[in-house]
Order: sequence, then structure tokens, then C-alpha cells
Amino acid sequence: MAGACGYTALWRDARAQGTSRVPKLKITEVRAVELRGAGSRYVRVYTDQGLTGTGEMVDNVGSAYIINERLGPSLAGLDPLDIESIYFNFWGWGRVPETTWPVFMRGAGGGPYLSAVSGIEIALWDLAGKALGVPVYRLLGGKVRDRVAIYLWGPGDPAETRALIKEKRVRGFKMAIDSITERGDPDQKLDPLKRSHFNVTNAEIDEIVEKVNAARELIGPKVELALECHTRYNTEAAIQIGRAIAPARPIWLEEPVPSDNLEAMALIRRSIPVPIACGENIYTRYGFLQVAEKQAAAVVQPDMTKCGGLLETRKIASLVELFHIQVAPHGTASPLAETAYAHVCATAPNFLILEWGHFFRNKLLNSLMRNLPQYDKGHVLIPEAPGIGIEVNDDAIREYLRPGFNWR
Amino acid sequence: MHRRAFLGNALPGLRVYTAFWGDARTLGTSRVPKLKISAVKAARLRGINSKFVRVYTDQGLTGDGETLDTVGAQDIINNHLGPALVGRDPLDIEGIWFDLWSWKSPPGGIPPVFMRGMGGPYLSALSGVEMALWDLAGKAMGVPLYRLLGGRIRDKVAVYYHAGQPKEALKIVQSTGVKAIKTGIDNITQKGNTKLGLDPGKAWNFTLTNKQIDEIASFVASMREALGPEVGLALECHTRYDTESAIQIAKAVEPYRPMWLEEPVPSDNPETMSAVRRATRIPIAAGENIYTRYGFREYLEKQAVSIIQPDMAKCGGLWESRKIAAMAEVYHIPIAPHGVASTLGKVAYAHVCATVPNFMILEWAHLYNEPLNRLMETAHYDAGFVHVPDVPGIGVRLNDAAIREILEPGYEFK
Repeated sequence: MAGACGYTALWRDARAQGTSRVPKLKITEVRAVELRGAGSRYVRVYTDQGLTGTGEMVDNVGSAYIINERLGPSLAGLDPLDIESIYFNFWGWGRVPETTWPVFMRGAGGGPYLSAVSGIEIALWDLAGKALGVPVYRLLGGKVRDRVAIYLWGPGDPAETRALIKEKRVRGFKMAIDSITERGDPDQKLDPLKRSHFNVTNAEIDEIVEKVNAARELIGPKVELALECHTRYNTEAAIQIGRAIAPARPIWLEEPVPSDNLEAMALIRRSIPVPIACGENIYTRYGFLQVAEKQAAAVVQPDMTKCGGLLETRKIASLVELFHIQVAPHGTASPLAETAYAHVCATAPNFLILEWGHFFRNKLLNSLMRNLPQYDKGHVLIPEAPGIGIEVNDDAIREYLRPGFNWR
Repeated sequence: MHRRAFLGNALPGLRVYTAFWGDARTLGTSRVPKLKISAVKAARLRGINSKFVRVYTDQGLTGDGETLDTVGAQDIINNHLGPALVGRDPLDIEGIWFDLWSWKSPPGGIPPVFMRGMGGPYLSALSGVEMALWDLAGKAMGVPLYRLLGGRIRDKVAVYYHAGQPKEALKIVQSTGVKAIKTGIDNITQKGNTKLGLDPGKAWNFTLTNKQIDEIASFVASMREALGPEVGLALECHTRYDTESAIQIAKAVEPYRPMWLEEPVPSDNPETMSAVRRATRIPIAAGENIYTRYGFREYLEKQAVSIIQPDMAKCGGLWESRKIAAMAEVYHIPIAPHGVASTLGKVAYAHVCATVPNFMILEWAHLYNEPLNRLMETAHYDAGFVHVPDVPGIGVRLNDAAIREILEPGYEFK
């Protein structure tokens, strides 16, 4: 084992010198890029010794600009391994050039600013792992499992679904039910009710039940079925739907109403015999504390590229653990961030299952990676390479750059 | 003399209005032009916290708004929200706001519900656009903004100014007639530097010693002594303390009867704010870092604060703030909006304040900020009040040439 050999020598060396084995790094630059045709934005932290770390952000506008123009320049010269300090400064009272303090502009949680901070944080963990020569999970408390259960979007085509279950041993699917009764014209200008705050008629509820039952029949009783609502319903409609689909025994009903009023979420949870999941639009410990204290959900789903990053999510998991709530992270990112999530999932005792929506089937996203994590029977194995363990394909990323962005 | 002729002679503006109205009635149409948004642009300026937003229409009419205390909002407007609005009727403000809050994906983005967060740059961008749309709506209909927000219940709005030291405070009170002053107390014990460094505890000095509490109390005593018993004295903490330190400070300054203690702890947890409020006789104010009705709902339901301070350039805009005020009214809680914007933004806030029964006082920062004030018309000050302009829209004209002089590279303002 060449790696172990090298490590032992390095360690002996460091001990002999009375120093730690960590190189003294300085951040020289932080750059973020947007791509054509992909929601993923990549972030790279560069250092004076040539070592870099790469992170990712999804589901936002403006965060690449915030990094390139404001947050990135403020990090130049800092030690990239002081991650807690960098995060706290970006959350609290660090001075970002030519603007006010983060405490006044970050928002109560979430949005482009926190997405930018999350993307940088993920890149810093990748860099820290590489600098220390260890996989990221070793820096987040150490793992409690070697492999992380995942689920994907579906079920789709019946033959393909059966093959996924039989051959790939897929453990779960997530099905969007809000689209079943979405009647609106997406170009309709003046009636947003067509796109949110849905009310549902009895006939529509029956239609949803029929489709959910068909999906359950297709995947059988053992494979998990999650039902995604994308925040679309009003409270009563959500309760009616939850009661009607209960016999199909879904693993959860996801964001039946927007996560901006957790009293409504808690009322739904208490009214239906189906677990409630939410979290992709909840941010930081401060946001999740409210979910936990109100017992508004059975399962929380932080999106680590939006909610504050990997360590913030590790803290969120620890916080909801006290309330006996499970964590099933939101995962719509490319394999780079998904694998970063898997490192966190490997360390959280109260982990349930990780969304891996694209399931290695998105050709564009796969082409942006030099390697993929190993998949085995419904699980992803945690890479043992230093950092996140996924290398992005810089040439491919350069091909898809939006105008005005550079990647090197 | 015929009554209408008399009024017409006495008030030329009214005559024009009457003619206009008569015209529109005869024609059976509303007096609103059919407008289409042709562009929305935001500009970042050198050395200025304010970002100005302009909505352009196919008929040449424009509206101006402002956002601040943000990074990235101008990029979000120029590259995403602006392009999403081209071709829309700018007067469908509620429709535009709801789309950009919920399910209308702007170019280069996904449905806002998944990326807006609660506050921060996206909502700042939305707030700036919304303010510009109201300015435009007022101009399009030929009415001051307050007429579109429910109508006014007062024609001038009480304001307070900032002062750092007792002498300065007294001078401002004597020269302006203002009835209240706000002073920061967090800087008294802030020893560290605020550059991005390793120990943020130096800037966010959570835990105070007895000596530091005494220092704060003696400063507050000196302010009260200079101002006398009648002038309102607001104490700003900028979210800097831990819960117990906040309570200890409140207790120490109680004898000086401040108007309020502002954001003694961060507005991230309504329970801790509530704990401070319940431990002291001093009113607790917070809100500049709370966003939308959804954010204020918790603070109101928990009665965690005595006074709320929405920042309309960040929390969702003028109409969202009007709704927040209406919600607070039900809890018998007044609003004292946060006001660190330029005169444009602050006068827009004043229009909202003019319509709100539970309005207390409006923050008016930058009274003497020349670099900022030279970018636009001044407000009409009157012994601690600001008059709400009676001209169409917000009623503050920007000095475009002055703004263009300090544009950051890559931005335009025409």
C-alpha cells in the first residue's frame, strides 16, 4: 500500500520535526462559474502552493457573481483550513469589501448569499481533505457507515423500472405528484394560483391516488416510494391528499406546503398518517431548530449547497437527532456535490437515505466528472481518496461555460 | 363665481386633474396608459451602499427604486429578474411580485421558491424592483405613492436621526428640532478589528464583563443627560450580544428610559429575542434582518418584540411592508421602519408610513451625507418630521448625471 507507506513516512517526518503534517496554505483566489444547460455552478479555491479545492452550488441565481466579485477577493491571503472562522465571518461580522457586514445582508437564511457561502465551504472541505491527505468524512467526525443508501427520481418507464429494481437493486424512488393536477398554462401571466397554492377537487384527489397506487404496484411493496409536492398545495388540500394516499404507504410526503410557515406544516403532520419531509427550502441551524421544536416534520432534507454547507449540515443533523428526527438530504446536484453529501451522510447516526436524483444517468453532468463514486446495490460507497474524492473534468467544464466566466 | 371655476383658478393642478378625470369618464376608460416594461437595470456606485434600480417602459415613462445592504442584488436584477419582466404590464405589481416570489423561473434560474431563501440578495433585488414599480405606477396614474397604498392618515412623518456622542446629539436636536436620536452602544465595547480575521468574537463580542456593562451604562447616562428627559433615545446593539449579556445591558440602562433597545441579539431565533423582552422594562425593537410577512409572523405571534423595524429595501418592498404593518397592528405592535437608504428610499418609506395607523417613527440616516444626498432632490424637513411629497410617484428626482459620474465599471444608468 503505497499510500499508507507515504503517510507513515510523512507522519514520522512531521513528528520528528515537531510540526503538524499540514502545509501552511494561503488562499490566492476563489472563482465560481455558471454553465450552459446545467444548474450546477462550480467553485474553486486556489492556494499559493497549487493545491485547489472544488465545490458546487445549485438552485440559485447570482451566487457566482457574489463569489467572484465579493466573497472570493475577501478570502485572499487567509489560511483555507480555518473553515469555521471563514464561515462564521461570512455569517456574522467579517468585512466583505465595499459592502456591509454579512449579518445585515445574508438574509434570515438561504438565498444567493448563503448559496455562495455554501459553495465555498464545500470547496474548502475538498481542499482541507487534500491538504491533510484524508477523505472529507474523517474531518466531519468520522464515519458510522461505509456506504450510503440512495434513491432516485421515478418510477418512469415500467420495463426500465423493473430492471433498475432487479439488476441495480434500487431502494427507492421519488415521484412528483404536484404535476399530476397542474392545469395551468406556464405562460399564464396573471393567475399564479395555476402554479401554486393549489386547491384540489375530489376528482383530482382520486386522480392522484390512482397514479400513486399504480406506481406502488409497479415497484412492489419493498421499494420505498417518496411523494414530492414541491410546496404547491394549500394546507387543507395537503391534508386531504395525505389521507387519501396513505394506503400506498409512502416513505414520506414532501413539502406539501411551502416551508415558510412551519405551523401549517406541523398541522399537516398531525392530521395525516404519512411521514412529512421538508428542508430543501430551510436554511442553517436556525431554520431547522424551528422544524425540530415544532415537530413539524418526520424527516428533514437540508440541501447542503444552499443551507450553509457540509459542516452546517452536520450540525443540523446533530440538532435534529435530539428530537429523534431523521435526515434525508436533498440531492439534485452533480456527482461532485452528491459525493460530498455522502461524506456527511456517512458520519450522521440519524441518516435515513440520500436523494441522488440524477442517478448517474445525466450524461452532461457525468461528462463534467473525471470519476464517479462506486455504486453497489442501492448504495454509494464513500471514496477513500483525499478530499471529496471526485475530480471534475476541467476541459468539459470549459466547454459549457456561460459567457464571462473562466475556469482554470 | 361658479364653484368649479373658482377651484380651477385657485388650483391649476386640480383643474388639470378634473379635466383629465372628466375626459377619462367621458371616454369610458381608465386614465392609466397601457404600459409595457422594456428593461429593468440596476447600478452599483463607487463608495455608495445604495443600488438604484430603474424600470423602463415602451412609452418612455420610468420608475426608480433602491436596494441596499446587499451583494449581488444588482447582478440578479440585470441578468435574471430584469429580463424576466420585459413585456409585462408594470402596473400588475402584485402579480409580478408573486411570480418572482413563487413559480416564475427567471432566465438562468429555477422557480424562485427554491432559490429565493428568506431574505438576502434575491429578496433585496425583488424589493428594489418593486419600489421602482410603485414609483412608476404613481407617475403613470398621476398620483403620489401614498394614494396607491391605501390612502394616508397623516401628511408628515416623524423621523429620528443618528448621533454618536452627547454633544453631537444635542447639537442635532437643537438645530433640527428632531424629537428622537439613535445611538450605537455596541461600538463602546467592540475592541477587535472587523476585517476578515481569525477571531470573529472580537467583532461580535457576545459576552460582556461587568466593567463593559458599566461602560455602556455610563455612556447612556451621558446621552440622557445631554438630551434631557423628553427626547427619545434609541439604543442600537447591531445583534452583537449573547442573550444573557443583552438582558444585563437592558437592566443596566433601564434608569435612562430609552425609547427602545434594538436587536440586542441576532434576529435568528425569536425565542431568545422574546427572553430578552420579558426580562426588561425597556421596549425591544428588531426587524431590519427579518424578512417578509412569513418572517415577521413568528416574532409577532411570540410577542418577541415591542416594535418592528422592517427594511423595505430588503424585506420584500413597500407593499409587503404595508402588509407586515397591518399584521403587526393586530398585535398592537407599532412599526418604526429601518431607514439607512438614500432620500429616494426613505421618502418611499415615508409614503408607506403615511398610510399606517400603527406607525411610530421612521429612521432617517444620512441627514448630512453629502456624497449620497447630492445624487438626488432633498426632502422637505420640518422640526422632526418629513413631509410626504404630493407629486406623482415617490416624488424624489434622481440626479442622473451625478449618478453616472460614480458608476462602477460595467453598469449604466440612462
